[in-house]
Amino acid sequence: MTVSRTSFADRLVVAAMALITAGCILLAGRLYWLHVAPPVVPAYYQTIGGDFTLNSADGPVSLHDLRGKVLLVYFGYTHCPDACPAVMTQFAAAFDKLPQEERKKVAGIFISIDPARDTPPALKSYVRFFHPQIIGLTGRIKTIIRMAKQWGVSFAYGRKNARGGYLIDHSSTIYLVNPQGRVAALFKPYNSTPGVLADAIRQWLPWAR
Amino acid sequence: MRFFVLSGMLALVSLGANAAELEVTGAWLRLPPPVSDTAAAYMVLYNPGGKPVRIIGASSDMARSVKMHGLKVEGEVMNMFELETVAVAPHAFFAFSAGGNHLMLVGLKKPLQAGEEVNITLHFADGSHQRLKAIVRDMRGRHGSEQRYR
Repeated sequence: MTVSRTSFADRLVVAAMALITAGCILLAGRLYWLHVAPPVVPAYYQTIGGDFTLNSADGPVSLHDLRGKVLLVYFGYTHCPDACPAVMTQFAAAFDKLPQEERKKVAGIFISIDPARDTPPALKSYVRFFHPQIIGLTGRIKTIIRMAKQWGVSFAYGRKNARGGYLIDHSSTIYLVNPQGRVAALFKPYNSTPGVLADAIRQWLPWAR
Repeated sequence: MRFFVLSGMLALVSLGANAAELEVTGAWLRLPPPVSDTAAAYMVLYNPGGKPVRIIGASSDMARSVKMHGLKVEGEVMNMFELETVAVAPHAFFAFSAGGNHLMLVGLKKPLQAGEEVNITLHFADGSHQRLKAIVRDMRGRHGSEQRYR
């Protein structure tokens, strides 16, 4: 009677191979998760953001024109003395943390909620002061209001003073828009740093061009 | 003779004690973009005296007006509002700082330069005032990166 009997050594080899195979699968999965899978976006972010067309000093700009880039978006106005320049400085410092090659794949967008005072040329020189890769946009107030609703931005104009000057209360959220044009992360200026913004941008760079 | 000198010195000391006086540290102004005619100023004030000091306004030869602003964050919205007065309690600090209370220079009379010193005057409720100098800082990139907004 011949019984195929596997020796103890054979079994050991099989077990070792099984272990190695399992290890490889786990490692590949881990590498995929780290390097190939895009970052997870909370489902409710799908409900905010979306395409728009606004005016820059160099003509109309739509969000879909910037598809493929990682964007930082902020709503503000040029007469805002404190928060807006601080956020624009953070954008610039975040972009400068990226190597030259990768910097081409990002852009900043500053959307003025004060089109009465912020003309596209004024906005251009405002954003250029901070970084060449920030685009200043605005539009008709109706368009801005519709867009603000879409993006979950709230703003309210303050009382005019004797000289017609006014302040605007506004949402302070910084939006990260992924290369597919979707909102992928939100930041508050008071808990973000250029490092935090740059790290968030880097996560999306493998999908950017 | 000695008596007169002494009383004279006492008079000087009491004069000094009557006028509100704050210790000002780290006064600076954020260099604004060229199109902007407003700039924010920041500083830390300390009241070394035994009485509260009430600031009722500020002015500068460089701006049409200077406003004192407070900042509230309500949920998502940042709410900036004018402060009528600012009271600094005895032996207490009050900070005008980035992302919080600040002075806002409105209607700049000429473009500011980094490194330049700007005169700011604080006006007190007792009718006295105090002059201080704030240095203009360029907060961009290599010039002094803004690490944390607040």
